[in-house]
Amino acid sequence: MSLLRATSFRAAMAYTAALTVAVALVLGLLYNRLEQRLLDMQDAVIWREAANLSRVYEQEGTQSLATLVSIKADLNQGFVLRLSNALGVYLAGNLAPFPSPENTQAAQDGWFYVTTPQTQIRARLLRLDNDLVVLLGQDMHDTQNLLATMVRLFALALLGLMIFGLAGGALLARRNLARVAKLNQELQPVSQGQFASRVSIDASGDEWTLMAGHINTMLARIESLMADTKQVSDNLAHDLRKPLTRLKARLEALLEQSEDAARDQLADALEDVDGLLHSFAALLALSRLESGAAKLTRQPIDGAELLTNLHDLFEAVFVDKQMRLVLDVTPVSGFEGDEPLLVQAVANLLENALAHASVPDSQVVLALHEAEGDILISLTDGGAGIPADKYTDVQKRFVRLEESRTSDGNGLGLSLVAAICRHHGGALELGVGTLTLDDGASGLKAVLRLPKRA
Amino acid sequence: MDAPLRLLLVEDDLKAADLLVERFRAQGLEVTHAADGELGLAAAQDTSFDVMVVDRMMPKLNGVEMVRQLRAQGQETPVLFLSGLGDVEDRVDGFAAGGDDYLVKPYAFAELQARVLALTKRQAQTPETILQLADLTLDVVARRATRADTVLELNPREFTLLEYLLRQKNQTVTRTMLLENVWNYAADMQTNVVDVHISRLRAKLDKGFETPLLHTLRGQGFVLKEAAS
Repeated sequence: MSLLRATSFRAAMAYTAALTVAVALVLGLLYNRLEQRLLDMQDAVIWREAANLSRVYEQEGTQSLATLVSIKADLNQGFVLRLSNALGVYLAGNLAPFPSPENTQAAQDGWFYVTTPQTQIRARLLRLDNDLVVLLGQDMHDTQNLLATMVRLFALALLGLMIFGLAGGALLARRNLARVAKLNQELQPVSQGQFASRVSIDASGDEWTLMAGHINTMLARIESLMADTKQVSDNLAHDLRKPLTRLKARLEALLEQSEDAARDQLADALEDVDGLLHSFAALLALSRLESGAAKLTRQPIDGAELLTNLHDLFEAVFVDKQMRLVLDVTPVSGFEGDEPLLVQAVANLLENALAHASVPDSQVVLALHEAEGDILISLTDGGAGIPADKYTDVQKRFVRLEESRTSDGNGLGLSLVAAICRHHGGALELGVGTLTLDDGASGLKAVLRLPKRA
Repeated sequence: MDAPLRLLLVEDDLKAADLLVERFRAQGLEVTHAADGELGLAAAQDTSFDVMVVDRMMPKLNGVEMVRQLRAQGQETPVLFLSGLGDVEDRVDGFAAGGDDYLVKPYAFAELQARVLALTKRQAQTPETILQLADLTLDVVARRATRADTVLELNPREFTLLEYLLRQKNQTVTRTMLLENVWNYAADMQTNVVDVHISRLRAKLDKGFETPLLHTLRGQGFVLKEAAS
């Protein structure tokens, strides 16, 4: 199984994504506060400087202010200063030309940004008496560098988080996948009827061990139920077959000695016993197949020959009922299985068609072909078909549809066909026939889908 | 008249055994019954039989083991196993032990009888190639069937069917026997598929002739014989 399809990996991916978004939000908020704080600190320095300049101007006059501005400007402490008169004429400082409006961008509370070719400056204007104006600002370079470093660090943290999350998820998923793969492997024989197999339990005591324990309990229970079923079947076989066989023998003996009047009655009784034995044999076969007691004998089968022989046997019976049995056989390869069982299955289908789809002049098609690596044997009749919601029901034991209750039969035919298909690792598929009839019905199509040789 | 066939029946179900003994005797066979494998083994070592019918599942010594021991001692008497188990593996087991035939319960007596007789014949002679009954003649080699000098137009399957019936003439043949021997099917089929083939054969065989040869026995099967049933 692919890692991407593993539930645990998908969960880890989703969790990592959610966690990354959450952490990104927190870091974003942090960045925002940090930026604000840095600006506040920077602004505080400017306010202090502005107070300084104002005091010097008030106490010592314009000349001292200009000198101070020049000194401060030359100190290279990141300050940007420009002293100008009422007309905006440059008097002192390190920003000679007044910034043009297109390089100026207003911010909150009288702050504005000035963009120069080298850097960005956050500044404000300090208006003094005599219409003197000081542009007082600070280079944003360091702050911006700091913030950029922050962003890089945050991004790295997020990336690390994602890698860590996904790697952890993958590790977890691989561990789970390995456990599941092991479990699947150990359960494989069970699906093939070996109910004695168990899954392994390690000493970790984790949830997997707990589940394995439950599975084993379940398997033990199934095994004991199956054993019971088999025991009952075997007992039935032994205890009921003997008296039935004797009954049959007695009736046969009586029939040979009896007078005409009793003969018909005895013959009827004998036919009833045969019917009973037939149902009984079918039931036993079903139990053996479904309990997993019977092992599948795989032998190469010539599918075309199998169907041709059955066609040969049954064609006359169909003709007798004014029906036509048509063969549609495509050569297939790799067909293996238990031939007597498959003959039984196809014979059951043919008998069903004779019993329940006996429409004069209708055509019944017995076909063989392969598709999607399976061998398909199908029988399509020209009867009234079965309602789609009854497809599952009719495969159960003793289930007979209302319409066919009056006819002979034991309701085991299709169950046995289905069991034989499952025994071969395949399935019985029922559907609507492809032959459309005059009255709009389109018959029943029964398909034995059997996997080819592995 | 030949000496009667001597049959050893080894069967632990006494009621069933009584019935079988009675019916085999009615058919003119000389029957000895042994109630379990040990007794059966002793009887078979003591006396010489033409054929043995042995139940597979018996207390003390089961049928398969009993026959294995007999074969180990060089006993060649043909054996037919009776069994409640019909699986392929079980059959194989039986044949491996030295059984010559295998019949699953429940069976029709006619079938058991036919098989028992077939086992004794198998020993005695090579199969005949010209089969006859009244004015019916079947040349198995030339694949030609005639009745009172009229050639019967039979298809291959009908020919095989008639040949089988003729080899078992005057004996009841069940539908299961026909399915197994003419069509090679061991499957259990409920509809009387065989009946249609029989009636087709009958139409070719008996139509236009005074004495019918192919008779249906209700509840039992069919028989090919001269006298009316």
